[in-house]
Amino acid sequence: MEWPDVWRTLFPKRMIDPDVHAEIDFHIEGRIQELVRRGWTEPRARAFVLERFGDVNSVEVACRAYDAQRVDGATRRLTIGAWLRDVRLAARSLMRSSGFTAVVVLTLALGVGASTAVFSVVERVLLRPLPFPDAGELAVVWQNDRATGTVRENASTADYWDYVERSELFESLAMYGTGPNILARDGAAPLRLNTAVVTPNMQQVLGFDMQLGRMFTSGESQPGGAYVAVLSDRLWRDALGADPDVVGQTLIIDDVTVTVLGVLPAQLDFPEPQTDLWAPIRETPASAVRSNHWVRVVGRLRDGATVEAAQAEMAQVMADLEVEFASENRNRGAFVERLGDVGRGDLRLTLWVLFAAVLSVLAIACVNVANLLLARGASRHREVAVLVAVGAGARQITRRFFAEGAIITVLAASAGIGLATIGVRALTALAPASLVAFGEPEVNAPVLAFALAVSVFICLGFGLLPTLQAARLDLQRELKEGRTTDGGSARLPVRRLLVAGQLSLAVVLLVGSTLLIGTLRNLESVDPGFRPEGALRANFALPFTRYPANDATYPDWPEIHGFLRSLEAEVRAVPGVRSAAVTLNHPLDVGFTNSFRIEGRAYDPTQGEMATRLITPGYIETSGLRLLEGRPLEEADRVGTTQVMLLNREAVARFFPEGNAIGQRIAFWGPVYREVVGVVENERILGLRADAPPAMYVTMYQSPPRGGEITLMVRADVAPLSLVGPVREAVRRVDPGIPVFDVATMEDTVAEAVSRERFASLVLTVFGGVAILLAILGVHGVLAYLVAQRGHEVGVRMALGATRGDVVRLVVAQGASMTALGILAGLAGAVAVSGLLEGLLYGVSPTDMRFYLAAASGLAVVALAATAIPAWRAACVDPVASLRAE
Amino acid sequence: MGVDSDTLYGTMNLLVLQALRDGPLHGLAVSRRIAGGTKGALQVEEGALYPALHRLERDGLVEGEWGRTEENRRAKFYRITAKGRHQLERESARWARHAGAVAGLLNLSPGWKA
Repeated sequence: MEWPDVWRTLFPKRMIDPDVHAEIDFHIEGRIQELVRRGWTEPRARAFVLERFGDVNSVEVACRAYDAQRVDGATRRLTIGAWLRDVRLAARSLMRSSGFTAVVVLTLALGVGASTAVFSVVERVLLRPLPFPDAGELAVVWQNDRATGTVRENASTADYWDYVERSELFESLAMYGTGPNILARDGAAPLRLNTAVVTPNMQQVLGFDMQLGRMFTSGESQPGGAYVAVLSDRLWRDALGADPDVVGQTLIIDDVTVTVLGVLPAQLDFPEPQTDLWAPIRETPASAVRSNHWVRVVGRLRDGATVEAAQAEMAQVMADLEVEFASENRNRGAFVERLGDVGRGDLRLTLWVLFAAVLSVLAIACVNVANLLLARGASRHREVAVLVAVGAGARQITRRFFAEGAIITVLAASAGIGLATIGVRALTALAPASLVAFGEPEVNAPVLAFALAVSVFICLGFGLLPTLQAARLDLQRELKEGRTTDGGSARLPVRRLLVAGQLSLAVVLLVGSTLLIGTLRNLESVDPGFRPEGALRANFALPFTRYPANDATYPDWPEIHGFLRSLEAEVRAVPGVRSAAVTLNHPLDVGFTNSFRIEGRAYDPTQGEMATRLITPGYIETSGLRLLEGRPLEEADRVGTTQVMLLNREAVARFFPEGNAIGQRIAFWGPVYREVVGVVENERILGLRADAPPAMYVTMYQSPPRGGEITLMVRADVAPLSLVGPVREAVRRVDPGIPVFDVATMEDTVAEAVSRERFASLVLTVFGGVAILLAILGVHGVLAYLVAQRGHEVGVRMALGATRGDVVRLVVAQGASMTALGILAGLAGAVAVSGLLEGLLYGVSPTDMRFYLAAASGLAVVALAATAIPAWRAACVDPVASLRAE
Repeated sequence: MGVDSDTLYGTMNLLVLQALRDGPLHGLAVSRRIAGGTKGALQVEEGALYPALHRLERDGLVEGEWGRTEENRRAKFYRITAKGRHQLERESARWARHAGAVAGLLNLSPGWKA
């Protein structure tokens, strides 16, 4: 492990060793000259002199120790000077074994860097408190639906006002809804805005001060109130150039003149990531509607009130409301969730799994370094023995080792933090959008504190290890036996156990990553029911001013229908477009559900709801959904003709098991019955993991959408992304005031649906690979050391008639026993912890032994391969030479 | 029965001080004197001289200083201090009293100093 030539070039000898080394050198060179003058050859003379001189390193160590004591006597013990000198001596010692130092520093830097990078993501998403005072008191009151089993549903505004009136445990409650709006800009393309309409007490519930201006009042939040808004810091800076005089100015949003009242604080991004502005919700108890569930409720708990108590209270409120409003609140309950947990549930598991994985990698790296230190310690016994013999106290030796540990740690920590900043960027690039939505992770103060804590821990360990080893030193024996140090074999069981531990951690990581790879493969082979290849989607929103949705004239909304018709015609005319359609929710977008009634049957309250998909007829062809039975929706189906719908296969199987769905009539949204004219294949809309729920498809030309984000879908004959520009142009030709946003290929949409699993499996696989590599180095290191230490024994055995095969078998047996122990322990550990992965897995049982077998046999093969080199080296021992060397 | 390390170092100290009695010498010269004087009877590795020199320096019995040899090579020369000389007298007397025990082993005789 020595790279003396490199070092000698970089650091000439005198620099390393200005005093003692030169003195010894003078002696040795002088002696050699003496013999050469007497006619010896130079090499022979050098060998003889070195043999007579004894161990040069031990002599130098002893001399330096005396010098150090002399200086200590002159100054005082344990002064800063003494520490500095220890550090300098330690640095020299590390430089002399530069290869060792490099390997140790790199290994630790990898461990520190990887764990710090993952921790920075954990810190950003899971540990960083929300930017509100007493954020633990904030909770979201969701509704759940016992019929569909969904747990995070919106509330109605009427329910909200009942919460406010009936809840004792919430000090205050606010509600909000979100949706897209369009900001017109002079001389620039219109900008799509993420708007939240909120109750004015949102400021009081969250607890923040405005950055500029003021929040709107309850007087401004009445039906028919003035058009006012407060802006997010981001919109203020990006779109308005952080104009300090923004308060009182007006913006044109959806063709309406809106007065700016103020700017929200910089760190506030609520209720959803990338929110642009808040406007008053313009709702009162008197205006509230109970059948339309479109708002979310967030509240602040009173001092001492727990989420569990709030859950019980709100469940009771919802139970009472279900009795009072049997039709609107049927099957609806309450689900209270801490605000800080919202959206983090799935990520929590993923991130803690990855964090545990990276800590295992760190542990494996530390074991490798510990093994290197133990091996180095064994070969340094003589050095320690000399230090002890010349009167260096335990304190001096301890200080010396701690100084070495400190230098290694400082180097590894700095390199590790550098690696961490790269790692954070890589993780951010790979991370699913749902994770990055919380903000980009960074190496900030808490993350640095983590890196520091890990490093200090490592430093203490590395100071302690050689000290404990030195404490067991048999001084007399070491001095007498000289360089035949046998200290290694006594400590070898410890080292073998450490390596077995490494292998077991590697097995656990490998089992985890193979389970996740299996999951990913299963998810990617799921038939989503539509054809993502060649399809593009783009969102737009229609301002209600030019595209009014008047309930009185529903479904006859000519402006919206006219826009949809022109849009489809323009887009279909774009070269390269095979087909185009509009849908309220693209494939894999959850959308919404409706209760329904089948004509001629008594209403069954246990039937649940059906997903309701608003599409234009071209959707079936454009998404690649297969028609199984009957006819598709057609352009001829419009306002005034027979109201029609399609069902998916699941809906037919569940509600018309006799297969007589065609011709049946179903009503939702009031008493209008629609005739089932066709059946389509199941399309995955709840993500790839969940089977398709029963769904009905209606045409927008009979049931137009009421605003919100609408999706344009295009199937292309050319690369879909090449159509983004032409499609934007086509939309602009229909209405230049409508921005197009969230453009993506459907293939990317499918990929995003498995991004959490892909992220987890990719990162875990990388960690698994690093773990294998480190563990293999560990196996090889211990065996190579064993062979080096027991070369004499091997020589004796061979002299006594052992064949090379016997010797190879001896070494391989040592390796195999370590490997077998490690793998068995690892399999047991994997069985114990794999259950934690269950929430991440799909189509794979956490105890599926095929994955365990694959991981174990893979690792066994590589581990045995790692025994080959030491075994071969042992077989090459020359018995005569090794015996003579003694 | 082996020689314990204290005795070994004590003996070495005495030999070194003895060698330096007549003037400063560098380590190699001290080594030559001791080897010549003991006629190789002292079975110690040659390098052991240097820890002894540095230990004597620590204890203030000798002083080291870098200088030039006759061939103009840089070398560290050691000079016996007053304290060292005093120690030498005292130890020599002690050795003389135990001459029967040690003279044979170390082949110590008044004549080898030349």
